[in-house]
Amino acid sequence: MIALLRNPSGLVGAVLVAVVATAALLSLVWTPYDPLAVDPTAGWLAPSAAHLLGTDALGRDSFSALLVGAQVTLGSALLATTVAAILGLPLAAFIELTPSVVSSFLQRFIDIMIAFPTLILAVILVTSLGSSTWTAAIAVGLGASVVVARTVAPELRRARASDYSLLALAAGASSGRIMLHHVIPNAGSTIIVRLTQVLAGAALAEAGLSYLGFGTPAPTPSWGRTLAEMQPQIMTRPEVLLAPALCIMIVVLGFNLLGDGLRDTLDPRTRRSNR
Amino acid sequence: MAAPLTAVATTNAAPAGLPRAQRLAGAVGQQAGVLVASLLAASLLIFLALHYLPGDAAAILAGPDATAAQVALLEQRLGLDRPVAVQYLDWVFGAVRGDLGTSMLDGRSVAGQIGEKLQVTVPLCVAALVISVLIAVPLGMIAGARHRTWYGQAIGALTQFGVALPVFAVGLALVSVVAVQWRVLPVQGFPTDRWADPVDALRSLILPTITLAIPLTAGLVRFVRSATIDIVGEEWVRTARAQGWSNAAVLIRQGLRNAALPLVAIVGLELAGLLMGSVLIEQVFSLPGIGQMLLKDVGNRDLVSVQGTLLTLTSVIMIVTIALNIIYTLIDPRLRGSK
Repeated sequence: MIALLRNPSGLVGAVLVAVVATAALLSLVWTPYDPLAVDPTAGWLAPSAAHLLGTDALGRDSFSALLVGAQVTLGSALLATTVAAILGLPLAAFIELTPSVVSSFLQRFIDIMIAFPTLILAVILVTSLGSSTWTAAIAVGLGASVVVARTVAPELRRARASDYSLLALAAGASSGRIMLHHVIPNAGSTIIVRLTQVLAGAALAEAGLSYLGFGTPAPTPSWGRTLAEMQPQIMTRPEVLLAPALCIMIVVLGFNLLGDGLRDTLDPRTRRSNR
Repeated sequence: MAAPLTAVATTNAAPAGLPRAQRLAGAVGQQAGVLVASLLAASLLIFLALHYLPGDAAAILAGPDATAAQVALLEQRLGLDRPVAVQYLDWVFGAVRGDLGTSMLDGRSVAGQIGEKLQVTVPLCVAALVISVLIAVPLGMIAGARHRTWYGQAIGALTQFGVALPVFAVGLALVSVVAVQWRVLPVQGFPTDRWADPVDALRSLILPTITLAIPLTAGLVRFVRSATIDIVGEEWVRTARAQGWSNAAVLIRQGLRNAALPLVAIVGLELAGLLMGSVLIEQVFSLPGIGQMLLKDVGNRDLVSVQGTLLTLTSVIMIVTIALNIIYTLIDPRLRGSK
């Protein structure tokens, strides 16, 4: 943990993620205004002490909406990553444990599923289940699960071919036991790094899907949908688009840098190289 | 990053030792089999998911005031009263012949509509991809070979921002600066007569292409940079350096060949992202591409059109992925040569 904070990428990433997480937690208990409270007399107010980022067309406080948006982004990124891990990690282990005929078929299948765009999955799920933050997050998680499986499987193979795994095999341990007690703990750091990268991708995907109208439905504040709603203002007041765009960037950058920092500190192979 | 990606797509199923042409034919045959199976699976998934939608398609189309008889008539006209398996087979065999049915709303040919929209989406994606590769390969190699210098570090840091940028926010920023304030290029839209005036069409694609290329380039630079750092540390590079080759010469003459392989693989992985980016960008720039068509049809619940579009997009991506896999087999020196 301390090593992570000594790493420049890790430190910046941790700070950015902490800022967004604090905003999300804060918005659970307090926001300056009710983010959904409409005030027709206070539309398009400029930023001021009363409204830090001004108000939107309906007089809703933009800063409050931004804080609540952090909940949506982090919540859906966490859900998507959980789905990706729950499906992807056993799939990776399964590929490694099955005979090569089955696993070779599975790998071809995964190659193709990676090509199946998450967007299409999201469109299908949202058209049939209705749009919600969670539907979109599950679609993103399903899409990411095959990527997790494919990137984690080689790590498992490496750990499984290592001396300690062979030693356990010689001692009579079953392949399932070796997987659980030796391989997965040793591949653990890589898995954590991968999942951090999935978090970044999921946050970006949530914003994109919400922008297109396949994610968080109105009126729940979401950074991506706020951008879509503000887009007509680009001619007259382009500055209102800045805050949500920056927020999306901060959270994605935060997770990416955190992932890089974790990789540098956890993975002994890259620990010394200066990337 | 490099290690797992090099494991991508090594489909050398044919046993080694056969003549190269025969091994190639074997690999292509296997890939074709995988392609057909995957396309069938994808078509089944798309069809079933949309078929079992909550809400009766015919009832929605007929409107809330329609009588049961009117709905039944519409169902009959759309062929929705037939068994599911018949409907699916009819759709798939039609699709093979290039017939994706007609729109439930205006009766126009879905395949014709898709063909028209692809005239916008395909140039956009191809141009962005080509520009990205052309910029990313030299930039990534410089950043990798000189990763301890300030500019190597700066390129590395910039790409961090590049991959974190939401593509639609980049688009909005470009629109507000280049189009709205400088008034250099059209803000949004595409000529209604499409490519009748190529200059007009190209002008309206410039900003979208740049927008789509920025995150893609950043991702590719990161990849090439990291691959180059790995290569520079290899023993054969040290040997070549000891023989008096300059670092740049080693990288260009040998490193490029070594990096080409993972690059083909990563471009394949970026395809789905490219499509998602293109749909977002069409929304930002109001381009009448396939993404706009998909969004509109989903809004209208035009299921025939939606499933046709989804099948087309999935097929294009799968076919390109398989083609890349075959190219990969062709250029991989480990799978080449020896009789």
